[in-house]
Amino acid sequence: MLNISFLGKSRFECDGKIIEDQLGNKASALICLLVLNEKRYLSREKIIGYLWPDSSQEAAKYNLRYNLWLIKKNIGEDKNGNPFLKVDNDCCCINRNFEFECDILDIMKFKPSENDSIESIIKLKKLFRGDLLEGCYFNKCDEFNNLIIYERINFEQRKVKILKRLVDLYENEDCYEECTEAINEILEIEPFAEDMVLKLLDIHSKNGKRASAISYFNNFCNKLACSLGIPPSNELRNKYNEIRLSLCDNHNEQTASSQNSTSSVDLETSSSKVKLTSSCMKNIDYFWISDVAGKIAEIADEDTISNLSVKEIMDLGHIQGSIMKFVNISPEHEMEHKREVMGVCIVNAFVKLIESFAKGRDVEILILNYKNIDEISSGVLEYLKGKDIHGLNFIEK
Amino acid sequence: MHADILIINGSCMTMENKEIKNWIAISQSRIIALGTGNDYEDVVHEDTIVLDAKGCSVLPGFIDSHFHVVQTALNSVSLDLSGVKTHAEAGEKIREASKSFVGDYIRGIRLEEGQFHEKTFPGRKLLDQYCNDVPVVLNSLEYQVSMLNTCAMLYFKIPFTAEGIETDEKQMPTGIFRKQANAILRSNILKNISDEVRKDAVSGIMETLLMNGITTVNAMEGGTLYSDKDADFVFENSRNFPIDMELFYQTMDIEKIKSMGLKRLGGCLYIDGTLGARTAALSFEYADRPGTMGSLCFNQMEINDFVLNCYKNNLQLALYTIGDRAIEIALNAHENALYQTGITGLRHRLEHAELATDIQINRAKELGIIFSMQPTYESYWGGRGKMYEQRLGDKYALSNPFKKIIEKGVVICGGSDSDVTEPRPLLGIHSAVNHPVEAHRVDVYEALKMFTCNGAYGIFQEKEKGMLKPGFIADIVILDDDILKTAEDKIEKINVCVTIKSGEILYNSLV
Repeated sequence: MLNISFLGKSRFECDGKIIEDQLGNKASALICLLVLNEKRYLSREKIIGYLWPDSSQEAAKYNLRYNLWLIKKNIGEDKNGNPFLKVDNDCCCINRNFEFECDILDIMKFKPSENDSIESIIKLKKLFRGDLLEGCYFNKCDEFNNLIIYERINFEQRKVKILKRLVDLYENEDCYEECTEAINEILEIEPFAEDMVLKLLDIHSKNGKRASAISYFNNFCNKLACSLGIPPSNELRNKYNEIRLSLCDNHNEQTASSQNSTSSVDLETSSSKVKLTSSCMKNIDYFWISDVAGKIAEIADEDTISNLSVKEIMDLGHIQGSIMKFVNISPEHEMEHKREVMGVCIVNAFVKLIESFAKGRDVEILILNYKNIDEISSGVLEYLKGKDIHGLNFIEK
Repeated sequence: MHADILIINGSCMTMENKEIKNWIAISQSRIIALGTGNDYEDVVHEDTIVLDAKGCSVLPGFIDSHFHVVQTALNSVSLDLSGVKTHAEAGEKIREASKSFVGDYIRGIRLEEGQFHEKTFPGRKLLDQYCNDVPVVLNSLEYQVSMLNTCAMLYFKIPFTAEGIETDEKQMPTGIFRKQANAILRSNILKNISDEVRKDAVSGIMETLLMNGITTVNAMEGGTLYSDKDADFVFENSRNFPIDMELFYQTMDIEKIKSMGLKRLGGCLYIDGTLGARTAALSFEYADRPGTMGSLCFNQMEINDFVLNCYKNNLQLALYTIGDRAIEIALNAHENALYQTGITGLRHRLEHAELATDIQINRAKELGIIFSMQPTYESYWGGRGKMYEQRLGDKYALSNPFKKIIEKGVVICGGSDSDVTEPRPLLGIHSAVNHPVEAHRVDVYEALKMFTCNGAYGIFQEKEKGMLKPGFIADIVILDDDILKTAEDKIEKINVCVTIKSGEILYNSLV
């Protein structure tokens, strides 16, 4: 039985005998070319174009003949008397009746299906010993080198696909440790793949390993920062915050109850730390802004509000009445208040309120039902994030 | 005690209270005496080596406070392509290099898209035309882009599924790698460089360093655009080289730092990016790209956590900050950590700190933070018509305000960021004295402090380095002129003629 591996350093085993040294690089490359084109005949001309493009026609033809002979000599026929190659005056191909195993053929046949078993996927995964034709470079064979590059891309993608299938299967079976291992293998190939990191955090969380999730997230952020100079995506950050909060929940009943109770403001023991819970409502302009302003009004002191002018408080008052308790409205102001206010004034007043409130505090604003945030609030939220206000942090759920 | 080495007729700047002596006696690795006039007879012995400084400056050995040792070394054995103007010219240089190259592959460095008439980086097909039998890897100036020929594409492990692989119309890779793909590729390539190669390359640059009077460097190593193996190499091997290397491991892995017994970390721990790439975080828009203000690599909470952790573990931290927005969040984090721990005296540093505002300088002073700065940047990029002005417009005049920083009481230690700029402290000193913005210029003495006593202070070695004092390590340089009497605009012409490291004459052009 012939066993061929092209992933990693090429390996040919024929009836237990290693024969790659006898074949040499060009014959191995020729077999690889024919395997990659297993469903069709390749003309001799085409093969020469791949493997001996710079030789004279005569020399190239001889080289091909010689390598075909070398293959025949070393591989010969299977137990049923089938030759490995079908060769005629014009074309060559792999004999489909010849019994043999080849890593890349097995992998090329793979299509994710419901019938996949963990065992079958692991078997496929093990075939990836390295890159296609690893260590090979064929000088002046531009087309063949391009083909190798093209196929390396394909096999890398297939490897990731196979590993992802394995992750799904393990997850379905609640095999979290194995699932983590498979994700890590993907992350070795794609170390910055945030979707996989997200999955990993999720699996750690499901597996009760929240501390590992937090530690992984921190290391990942460090890697992103050191390697690419970028922060993690909001989605990943939210997942992290969710896990972190759930950790707090376990240790802090007060926090847990604050998220479910009618009192939406959670003041921790330290007055320098404040957690607010806010909500969103689709298509209602300023809803989230109004909600946050209202909650700040509940707990803010005069000092915080005094940074806003009367006009700014009144501007905000248009969307959140409770803020008006901080002003004594004179008749003149009364008139002002009745006028229509520009959206930009409300927004500016709100930003100032937030800045003033966050001064000297760590403020964490949990945004529930974030996907339903209204457009104006969404714009303001992005603006606030961009301002990077010291101590202010948003968590979107 | 008899001197092994005696330096006479010098203008020996002790770097303490501006005191100047005429002679210095050295025994074994230490300075044993200094004096004025000719009162050195007591220390002279028949075996004493006498060096006549002929009235020139004698200074403490220079300390370069920001130096990428391994990268500089590897680049010194790489093909510098900074001067080429066309793809063909680059190709010819590579072809020439391939005839005499030693090692596994040809490495070309210092490329910028704008330098080519074609205004693009060369791809693999172009490179193949000039060299198709040896792997060729080219790096852009700041390592953000790699270019490979086909041979290299098949030789190295390529992250084919990563973002940042440029492709042609047939969806085939062009050989140009950016973003994630570049970071992974660089990591794959650098981790395969053997320590033997590193050792040879680092040994190769020692002569240049000594020739420039450098006796100590702060070795900023590790991190993925570089390689953690560089940091591990310096950690293991620094004692095998003639100059001192103080390792700054560019990692955020505090546990690793602790387990290695290191007392500091950081260097190029990026809080923001570079002005060249318009990624340095500014509080205003880039003049040549309105709407862009650069970006931060961390939010405030994240940097707060990390800095706090460094305080709690008593680690000196060096953060990379260029834009004022990055400096701001770094200072915020330090204030938060100081407030929470009360720990002072760790001499934390901000590396580069090119655009610190007045308020930020005041805050840094309050926090005892050191600025580790690179005056040569101003020679390269400062002033009218150069990169700072292109990026910052009129605000170029805010960059590297050395005088103001010193006046406000913040310690500046000087470095080259080699090999971003040349490892020549005298050029750094020249650049600080001749800052293109007159208001930011410092006097020669202050500029010298940056590369001597302040450098020592930045690594807690001010009790044995950075000054000429009895008992101090005999790290000494003799110049070929008196720097205090040289016209300020000629300082860069001064050369080092003798470098003594720990009492050994390692460079001497007097003989």
